[in-house]
Amino acid sequence: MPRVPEIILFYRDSIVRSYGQIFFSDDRGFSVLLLAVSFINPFAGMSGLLAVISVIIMAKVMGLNPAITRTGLYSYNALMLGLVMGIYFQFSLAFFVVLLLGNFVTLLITVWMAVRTSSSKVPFLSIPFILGVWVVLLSSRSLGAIQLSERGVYELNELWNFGGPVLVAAYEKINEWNVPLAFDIYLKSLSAIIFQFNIIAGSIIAIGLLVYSRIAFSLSLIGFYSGYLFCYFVQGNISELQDSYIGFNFILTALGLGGFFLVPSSKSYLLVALSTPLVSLLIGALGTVLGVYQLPLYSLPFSLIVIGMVFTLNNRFEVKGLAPVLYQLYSPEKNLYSFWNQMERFKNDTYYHIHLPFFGEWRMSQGHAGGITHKGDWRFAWDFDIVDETGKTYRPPGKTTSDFYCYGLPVLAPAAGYVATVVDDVDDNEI
Amino acid sequence: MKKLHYERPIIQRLNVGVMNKFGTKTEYAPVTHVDGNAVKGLLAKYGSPLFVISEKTIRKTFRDANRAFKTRYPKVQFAWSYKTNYVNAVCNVFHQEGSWAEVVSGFEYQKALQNGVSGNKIIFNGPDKSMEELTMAIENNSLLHIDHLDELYMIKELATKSKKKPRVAIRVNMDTGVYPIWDRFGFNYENGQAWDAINKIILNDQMELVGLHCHIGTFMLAPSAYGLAASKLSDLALSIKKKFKKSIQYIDMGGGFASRNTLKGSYLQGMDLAPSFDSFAEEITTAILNAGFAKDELPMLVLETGRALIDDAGFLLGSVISNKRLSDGRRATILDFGVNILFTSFWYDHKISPAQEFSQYSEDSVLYGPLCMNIDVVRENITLPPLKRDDQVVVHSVGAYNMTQWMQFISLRPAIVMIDKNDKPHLIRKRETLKSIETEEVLPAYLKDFKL
Repeated sequence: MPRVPEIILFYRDSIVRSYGQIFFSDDRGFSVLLLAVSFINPFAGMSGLLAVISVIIMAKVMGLNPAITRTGLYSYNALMLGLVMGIYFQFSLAFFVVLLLGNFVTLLITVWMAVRTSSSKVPFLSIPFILGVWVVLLSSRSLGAIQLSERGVYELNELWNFGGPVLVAAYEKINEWNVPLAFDIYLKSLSAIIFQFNIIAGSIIAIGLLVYSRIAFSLSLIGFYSGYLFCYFVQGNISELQDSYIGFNFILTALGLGGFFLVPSSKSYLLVALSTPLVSLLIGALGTVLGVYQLPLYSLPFSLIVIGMVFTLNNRFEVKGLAPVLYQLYSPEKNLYSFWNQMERFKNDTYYHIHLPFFGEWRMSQGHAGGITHKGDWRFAWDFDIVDETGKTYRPPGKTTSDFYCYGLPVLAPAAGYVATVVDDVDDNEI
Repeated sequence: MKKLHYERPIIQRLNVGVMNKFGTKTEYAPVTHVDGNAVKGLLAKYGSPLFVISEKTIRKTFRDANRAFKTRYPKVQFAWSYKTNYVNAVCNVFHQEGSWAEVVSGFEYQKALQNGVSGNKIIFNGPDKSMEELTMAIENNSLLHIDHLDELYMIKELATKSKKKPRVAIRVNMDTGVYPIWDRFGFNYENGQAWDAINKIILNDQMELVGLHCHIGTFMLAPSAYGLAASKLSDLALSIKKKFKKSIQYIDMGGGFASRNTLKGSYLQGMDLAPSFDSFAEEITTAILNAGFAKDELPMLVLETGRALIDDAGFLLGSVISNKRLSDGRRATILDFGVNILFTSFWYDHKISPAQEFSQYSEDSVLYGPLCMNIDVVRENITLPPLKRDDQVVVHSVGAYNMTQWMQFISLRPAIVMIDKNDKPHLIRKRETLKSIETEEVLPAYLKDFKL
């Protein structure tokens, strides 16, 4: 079989991995599944794919680092912008031009943030996408050639146009499924991450997530439901959450903090459960502020909370409990196993191992700055002897050196080394 | 006014010009209390005679021994030798201090299991292991110390049927410079039997050779013998490593340390002769540390000490039954304990102390036991102050072997009491009754009736 040209591989990887990046994954199977799912709403799908391809070409033309482009890091924000624009606007030539320009802006912001945050090891998540989408939405209000799409208003009509009575019947059947509300919202929120808003897309993504990573799947459940429980608890606006599927912020927070930036552990799961209320608060707060300008929230709360958390955790004075992921393997399971492996292999290599110079149990009779003789130049010495249960250091009558428990016992070298001097002329102490 | 203690008068021949007993004071001090409990009170409560064990002494002696070895070697494990004293309370004191169990028979093995020792911490020694006993030991992952080739073949056969791989060691005998060599136990080192047995085990691969065992003697007074034994076992272990690339997990030096009793015929007192735990430890650990093991392959050192750990903690309290003057003029005192419950009086001259105050006068006497057998002599010659009927005595250092080798003969066996760390006595074995003797007897029906 002839070798596939490098350029094709480059494009394949860059395009496919952009989809996975949204879910913090580099698994190609999962990414392809996401790509396919994005086409359930075909307009969103096409627009998204176009956005990704255009940004990759832009990145290549401008001479950005191809290795980074290949990971999808520069293009996933553009992908999200494309998906959103595909949903909300009518396809037209003007639309595509604005799409390209919007992607370009997003790319500029992405590159700037990538460089700025790389030194402090803090991610930029989907901030470029949010800024880009605001730019496009705000400017589009004054652009007459860009029309808001009227899709979704007459759903059944469009389905009929697209797939005939078969599709309509299937659609009705799916809507009649009695999925419990809790699951229904979870699955639809999951699909909302790639802007799909239907239960089929959500189910496929859920299955894909479970196959790709059990930890990520469990995190998505924990994150989502902890966020919702908090909302119930504070009697927040549940119906708004349900209608806008903004709960996907909880899921993404869980994926990010639970197994991507931190090594998965019971403590990271606990952190997720504590962070989703923060996200919920931010949804309420930002929603109020942005509502004034009629700007959408999308994944802004998730991005801000996770960036803030990661920044704080990376600037700890004492790193204990939550372990940061030092080399990203893009899979919670791989991060966890690699962490365990490092702990096992290197736990003793962080400092030089010194043993106490004897076998068995001895007592330290005088330590640092002991005050008896460990003063001045000798204040860093340790003295050892042996005592029995009554506290005596000798066997009665204790009149000769050999009556003392510690006399004549072997003395070990505290660490490997070379003999520097031998001193052999010191007399035994007198009793 | 309290009745003065009556002591009968003695007639002693005075040899002029020669040292005599009127000039020297007797060295004995009365022992009126054991661990804070009055001897009179204990005998009144639990009957006479009575074994008394001091838990404090057990724990102190064990910790001394443990310290002596642990400060000289990185991995040390003691295993309590059940045949020395298998009273459950005593065994459990040792298990609480961290000892495994070492047993030499099926019933001792079951005793250890019932005491709560887990199977993989029981060492099963001895030449007589039946198929059932071996099967049980293999199922429980116990350590089997093989004594002879027939046992090896029995274990091989059982290994094919069992899902578990038996963990075995071989017992090795060798010339350590002491007489006699105990070459009836185990495989000989010098003529190559031991190496042959090792090869058989490892090449067959149905058993796992985890250790090497030796037990070179009893009441050993020469620590150097242990040093030799340890170096010969280390030699074997290193040869195994060289040929089979296999590390032995432990070297078991057995028991045999002397206690402070005085052997019959010994000129010096046992207290002066018995080597300390430190000297044994020094010999053994030096031999193994210098043998040439790689640093992280040093085998664990297992010790099956029995006598040296328990002897001094055991006392026998008894009473005087009567006095006699023998035909040649010697004074004889008859006690209510004899060789039937003090079996070690065959080997030792036990130190015997009166349990009440006495004057400075003393008399050479013979001490007899209560049996009507001529061999029942507790001490052939002892200098004691004059004793009368119902006076009480304390025998020292009887903890080892007496409570396992005592006879069910003529007298019912006495109770055993243990005094705990807070000086409180606990009954750990009841005084036997007629029922204890007859409980296994079956009388055929045709023998029930008779007419005299």
